[in-house]
Amino acid sequence: MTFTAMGTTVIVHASDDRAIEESRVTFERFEQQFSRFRPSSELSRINRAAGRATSVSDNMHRVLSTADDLRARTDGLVDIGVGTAVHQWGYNKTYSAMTDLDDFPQSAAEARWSLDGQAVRLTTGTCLDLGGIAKGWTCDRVVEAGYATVASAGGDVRSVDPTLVVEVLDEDGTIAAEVHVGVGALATSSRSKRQWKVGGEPAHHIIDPRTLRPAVTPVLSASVVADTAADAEAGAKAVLIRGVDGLKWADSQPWIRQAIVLWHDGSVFGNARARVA
Amino acid sequence: MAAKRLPVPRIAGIVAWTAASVAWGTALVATANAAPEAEDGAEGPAPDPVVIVEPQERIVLAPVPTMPESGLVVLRYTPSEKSEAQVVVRRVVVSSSGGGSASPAKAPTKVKSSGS
Repeated sequence: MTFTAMGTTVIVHASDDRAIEESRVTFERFEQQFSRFRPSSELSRINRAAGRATSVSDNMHRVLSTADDLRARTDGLVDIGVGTAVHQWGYNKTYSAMTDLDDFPQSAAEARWSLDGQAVRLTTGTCLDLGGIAKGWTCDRVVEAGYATVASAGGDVRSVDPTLVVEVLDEDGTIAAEVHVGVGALATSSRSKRQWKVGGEPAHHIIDPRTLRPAVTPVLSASVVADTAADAEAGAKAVLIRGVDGLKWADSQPWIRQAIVLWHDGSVFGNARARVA
Repeated sequence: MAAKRLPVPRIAGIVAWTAASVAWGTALVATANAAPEAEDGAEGPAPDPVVIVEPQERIVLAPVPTMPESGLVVLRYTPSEKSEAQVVVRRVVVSSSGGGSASPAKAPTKVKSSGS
């Protein structure tokens, strides 16, 4: 079953229509909560309250706790606080509605946010972008709730199907690698998708928190296998941003089972743990 | 002699048309001469202020990743500017993951992942 949610195509493998409907409703509910493009979402309310502490719902707290943990595990390279930079670099509306920018943006303020009990506090000028974390986290919820055996949203896949193989695709749609995932998750982070131009130069949506600019990296896309789709999403993004050292870093992280990168020249590399066909 | 044969209005017409032709020719020559002057004049005014163009940051992308501790699996090697769709090389340099997993009893489930 395929449907559209969170600005991407969602695929769920489920046993019956009721389970499919539960999956669809779950995606819609969390999109309403986590979208930065919907003014009525809880995330938009949090962003508007930057500068002071804001109480959050249980689900939002779980997502933010996951994001906080992943920020630490990736040494700060995966930070949902880069929303202001994402916005300033032109990704300030849904991708289909985006236009190129003539000029380079001013530097965004350093991203700072923290959890304090059931509240989140953003410094003034900080904006959260849950992006891929929300997609992966929702795939995790749909599968862990038993609605689906496999849930895939925009390249983030969560599975309890021991036979699951994921085809990692090239830019042109050809298969770069077939990865044995089984029970677990795989996510791909790509800078060749969602591209536009700023000042005549190509830009993309993967912001490096160290520079608050689109990441400069030899990695076109990175795929990571982990226990959960949220983990895999963060791992893939960190490998992409780390660039030349990405695979070496992934190898040192026990929570990353496999890592594969599509290199800028079309080569495909993996760490030795990669189980590829 | 000619004046005797032509009526005065006719002579006046000839004079008027001759004068008009001379004026038109003079204007044409003046215009033709003015064009090169204008071009020459373009070099004349003071040059624009010097604009310092900062050299663009040139980033050399590494040809291969840093070797992971457990080794690097090369699934495809295409050391060129453009991505090649076909597999060129497939070789395993190091593998620390041991034997493969048990074969699944049924045909594997497949999904695709290309990022978002």
